[in-house]
Amino acid sequence: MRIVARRGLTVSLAGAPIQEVGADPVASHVGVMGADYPVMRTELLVEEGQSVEPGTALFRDRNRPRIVVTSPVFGEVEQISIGHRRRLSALTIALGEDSGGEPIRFPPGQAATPAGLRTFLLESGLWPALRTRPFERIPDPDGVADALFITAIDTAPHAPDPRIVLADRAEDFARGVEALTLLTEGPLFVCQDSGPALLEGLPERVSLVRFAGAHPAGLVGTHIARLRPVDGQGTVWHIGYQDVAALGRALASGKLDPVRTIAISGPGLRSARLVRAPLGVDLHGLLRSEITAGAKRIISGPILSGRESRYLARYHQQVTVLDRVEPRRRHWLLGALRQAAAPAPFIPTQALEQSFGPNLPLVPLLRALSIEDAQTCERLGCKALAEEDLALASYASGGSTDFGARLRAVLDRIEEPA
Amino acid sequence: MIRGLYHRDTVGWLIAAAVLPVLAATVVEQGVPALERMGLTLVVVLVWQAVFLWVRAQPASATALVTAIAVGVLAPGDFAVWQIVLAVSFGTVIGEQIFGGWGRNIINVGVATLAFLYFAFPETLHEGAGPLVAAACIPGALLLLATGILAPAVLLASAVGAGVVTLGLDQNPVELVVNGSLVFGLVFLVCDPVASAATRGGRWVFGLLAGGLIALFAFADAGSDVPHAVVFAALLASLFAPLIDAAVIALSSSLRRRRHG
Amino acid sequence: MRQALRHLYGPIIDNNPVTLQILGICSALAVTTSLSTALVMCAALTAVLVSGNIMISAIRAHIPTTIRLIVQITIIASLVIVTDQIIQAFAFEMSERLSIFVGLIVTNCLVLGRAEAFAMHNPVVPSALDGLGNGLGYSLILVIVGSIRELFGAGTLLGFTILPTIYGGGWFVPLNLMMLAPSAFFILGLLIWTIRSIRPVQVEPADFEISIQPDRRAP
Repeated sequence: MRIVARRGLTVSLAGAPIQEVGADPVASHVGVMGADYPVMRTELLVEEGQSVEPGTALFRDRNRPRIVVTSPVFGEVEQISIGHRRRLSALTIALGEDSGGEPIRFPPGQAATPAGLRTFLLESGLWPALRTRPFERIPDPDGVADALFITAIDTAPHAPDPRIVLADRAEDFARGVEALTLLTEGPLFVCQDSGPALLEGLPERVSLVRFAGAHPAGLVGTHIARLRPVDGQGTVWHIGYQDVAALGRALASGKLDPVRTIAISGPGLRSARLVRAPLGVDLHGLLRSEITAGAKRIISGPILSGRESRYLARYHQQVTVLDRVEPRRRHWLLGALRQAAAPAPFIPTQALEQSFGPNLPLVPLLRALSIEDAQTCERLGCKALAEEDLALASYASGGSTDFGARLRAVLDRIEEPA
Repeated sequence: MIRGLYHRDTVGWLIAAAVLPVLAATVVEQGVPALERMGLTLVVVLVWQAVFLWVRAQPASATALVTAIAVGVLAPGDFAVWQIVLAVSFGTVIGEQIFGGWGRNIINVGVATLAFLYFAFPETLHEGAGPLVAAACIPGALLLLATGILAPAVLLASAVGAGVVTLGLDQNPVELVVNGSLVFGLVFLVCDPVASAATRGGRWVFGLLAGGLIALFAFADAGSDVPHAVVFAALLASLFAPLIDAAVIALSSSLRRRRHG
Repeated sequence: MRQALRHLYGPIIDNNPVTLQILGICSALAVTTSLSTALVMCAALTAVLVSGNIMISAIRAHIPTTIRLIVQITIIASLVIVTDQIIQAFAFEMSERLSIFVGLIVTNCLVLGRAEAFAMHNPVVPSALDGLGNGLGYSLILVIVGSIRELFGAGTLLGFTILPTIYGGGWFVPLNLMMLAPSAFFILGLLIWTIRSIRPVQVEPADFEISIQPDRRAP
């Protein structure tokens, strides 16, 4: 099946990466950030100074104790900082050598049944790779998905090309997709760009869907809106292609592979390219030798929906480096007047209409989001969306209102009684 | 996140840039009185924008220029200074500023001003603007289309609506095309991104309504002329825009619910 | 005593039926093209309001709840007919100019509203004062709107020329818009705006505010 996303906007930014895996800079730390798991009430399972290896459980969800987040690498827990409301803020691991001894193994044999696969994913810490729509949360271990989306396309500015990333991992990817058919009774959709199929010999219930078009054609929100909308009833789950390949490798060898291929790009870099780095890598350390002179802003994720962060976020596959621009000094009167004003209204231009993938009425939705009118937003179908779907719309409306943040506030309010 | 592309101020300046050729054409066609009228309008709008900037921290906008040129093109009669000041004050305060400035208004400021002028001082005569003004609107329209500010759906639907009704009334559509008042009103008043319908399907209905009303008022009403027709059609259509949007939303959400449960 | 006086002066500004409760606007638009018609209308409405409130309050204990609205309307309609006949008898040209609007006092939500909300639950003297107060509040608004419309629409007040118009050889160009109904809407709106700027307690709270959230990531 081929779907052409007719709407879309190209965002131009200097420093596009060469789609080739280049020399890997050396990383010294990785971090697991609480911001990646915003709703989770974390319960720590390790202490500072403890040695960890791939698969050691670091913390779990107090409300759903089967969901754990495991360490991606060998090393030692360097620092744990607790933040607001006693939730984890960041857990830093200093990379170390494999000290020998018996590594943690997750027996792949057990993963041949649906229940067994779920246990495999939960114990190995790969379960948080899945997310639900609506609400974009980690699914319940006993949850039911009406469909599963595997996102193997990335149209964000400077994103790595999934085809290049999966070039030498095709078997792992295929194995992962086949295993995932056990998670749901419904259809699986592998969403890729238009080009040769990433997967030959599709298992039962798996369909390959090609999406052509500019961003946001590559966002899973657009795919879900076209193939299996969720603003009425039902829940779908989605997972990224690199996590699927990691699952496939774990099923083959029983050991966890923390390495992901990420794109480093942006005008602040000397040579933008693809590199291999472990999950949660310390970006400041990783990129210290790569950046040009001057103060920089290192953003985990694409320029539109990323956030300035020290470590690579769990669900991001790229890093964008910008020059840090000092805010212009304004006259005190204008500054005071600007401060008092509400955020500038957005103008419903044609460009704004192009910036949104799902087939929902965008301008009424943005208006309802600006005042956080949860009832109207729900009626307009906001449950099918996540912050990343609105990132391009925030950009195309002038950037004065962060609609992703408003959406998150509205979704939290809709989710509350549940 | 980097500073966005189509900030309200950027869009305002782009629209103001698009309307500049019309300023030149109007001065060529009507001479210095038009310049005086437009200058007066611009000053009054800017004064009120400054008042609301001070009192309510509402940022000013460059669309003051569009209002000024609208008064120049569509109200070429002999108005006294106090009449223009009153009408423009009404238009900008009641039409835009009390709602929160440009971007939060419901009808276009130029439309409100001109409607007030037509109702309050009906004895003043109006002739429409000529083909030079019509030609001067084209580069502006192309600029706005190319930068993605103007919705092509509204423009197209208005042209179709006007054409259909004109032919239905056994009139010559070419009369409308060379009329500068109509082309200006179409591009800058009817297709105003803020005052027109906001949903994809709604834009087509809105355009058809606006175009149909323009042709109807221009030809069916013996006492009316094209400037009146354009302004009242734009006024009525933008008042109906929220209703059109609500209908489109209700229709599309019920279709979506029926298709996917 | 103070409570009674509050019924009288409350509805003039703080609880004005037109500018706060937004009742009775239709007649406020229609009859205010000149001040004299506005004054007659005010007198008629106040009379109907006071006498209606007195009568309904006097028999309030005896009106069955299920048919109370019918009884109220009957009383008010009778009073309106009487008022209309009085105006026709003693001021015929004025009655011609007011045409149907005196008869339409029956449909004025203000009259039925005060009868239902106040006269049905309160004794006679407070009801009379409440009727008088609301009538005065309504009259105040009508006089203001009527004065502005007549002055700027025709240059006269109560028939006396204040601003000599160009039609009579003067300098004043009358504003034709004042003869049309929308002008009354605009004047009323500006009046409400002015009153609520002076008495901010009358401003209704907004259902939603534009959310000013500190964004997670500053640009």
